[in-house]
Amino acid sequence: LVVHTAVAPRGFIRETGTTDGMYCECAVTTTGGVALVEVRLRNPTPVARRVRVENRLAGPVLPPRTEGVPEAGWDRDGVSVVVRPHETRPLGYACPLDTETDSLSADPPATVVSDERAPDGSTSRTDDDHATSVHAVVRDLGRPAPPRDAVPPPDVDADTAHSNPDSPETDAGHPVPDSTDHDSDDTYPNDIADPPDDALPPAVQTWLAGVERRVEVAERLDADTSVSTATRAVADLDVRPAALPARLASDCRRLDALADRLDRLAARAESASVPSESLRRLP
Amino acid sequence: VILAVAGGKGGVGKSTVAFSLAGATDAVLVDADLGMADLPTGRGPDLHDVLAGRAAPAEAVRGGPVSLVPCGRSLAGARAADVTRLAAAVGSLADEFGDVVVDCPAGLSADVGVPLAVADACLLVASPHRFALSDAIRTRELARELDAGLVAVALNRAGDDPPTAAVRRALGAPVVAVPECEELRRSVTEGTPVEPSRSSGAGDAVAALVEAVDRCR
Repeated sequence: LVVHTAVAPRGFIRETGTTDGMYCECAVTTTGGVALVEVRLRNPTPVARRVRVENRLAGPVLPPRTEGVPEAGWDRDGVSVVVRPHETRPLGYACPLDTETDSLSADPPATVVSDERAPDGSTSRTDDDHATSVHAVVRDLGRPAPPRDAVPPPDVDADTAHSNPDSPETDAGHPVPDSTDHDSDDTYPNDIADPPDDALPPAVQTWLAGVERRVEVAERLDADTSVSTATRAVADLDVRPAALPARLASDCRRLDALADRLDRLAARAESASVPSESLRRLP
Repeated sequence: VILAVAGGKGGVGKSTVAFSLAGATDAVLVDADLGMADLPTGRGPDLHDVLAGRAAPAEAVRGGPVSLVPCGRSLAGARAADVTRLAAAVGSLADEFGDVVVDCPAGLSADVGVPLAVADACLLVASPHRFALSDAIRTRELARELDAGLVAVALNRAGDDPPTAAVRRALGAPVVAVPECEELRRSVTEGTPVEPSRSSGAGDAVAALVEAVDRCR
């Protein structure tokens, strides 16, 4: 979310002075079913003030995040910040719109609910328990996870190949057609793959693993999924989150087509009779 | 007590010192180097599984000369591990087993910051070189920011004339010179932590480190 320091008057603008003199200006733009709320606090007093701004729209506050961790002071309903003397403080958050009416449910979208003189030396970090400091550490220092591109697809070594192929298309009744001439493998050692009989070729394995990952993510996401869970789930994907439904639909079509083809191939492989005796006599 | 063993620079002997210190204090050693673990591992759940929510912290503890929570070595595991869970994992190990020594990775990423944030105290490992010392100073600043008191500095591979006074001035904590010796070098691979004793140089250093840790109880 981009927060503009100089709020351009898009949508509507409200400026409300509180009794203590904190000015609060809101602007809101809506895009893609989400309201983007811009708030500008202006402290005209010569003392630092602790301000609580709360969201008045129906949906939850989606705060700005760094490394997946909300910025300090934000919670589900709003934000608590300390505004220094004569400081203008920009804030911004997103909020999903009411799905039925698809319109703003409150005007102004956010208000100052408390405004008091901040104790000397206080910062915007409001409390400092363990969870807060751990989140602050991750936000400030960054997650040590390797980038997604550095993680090889889970197909390479044989034991993952064995533990993985539990997708219904591969072993529930439709085994991959096996080579029928195992007897003669001493003459053509390179023709017969070394991996165990039911191991899939790496390319197929990779493709299936990708489909499995997308299906798993889709199963993990539902209406009740929290933002942090969803963020982590979606981070494992190789497609843009918005493209996931279309990709899943195409996965579904391909799997259907593949299942058909596997059925037919398996039937043909079973019924084909290879004259193994005569083949053995060939050089 | 939760003790973080950190140092900033890689290769100065953090894991080696942590291994013998955990052995001497009967603590559980956690290898928190999520990306490049170097303490021995084995079959069974590891720290990656714990941080991905696939195993309880106590399940990942391996018995042996030093109780150890090894870290996985795969990139996929490192990517699935959520470092914010490290705090709760280390806390629950401390509740169950008492003392915990966390072997931090090199650098100043969150996998150093989170152990320092949950630790009661930290031990810095440095080698007597200017570059190692400057990294130790940066780690010391981070530890100070996160309220992990510095119990001691282990000056590893100290040589004949260790600059203990200069390091003490720079880092403001007692300095224990750890001599370069075969006993210490082989301790991790052979699974034989150096015992605190007054008879060998390394044993003497481990005894001094244990004493420094005991002071913060």
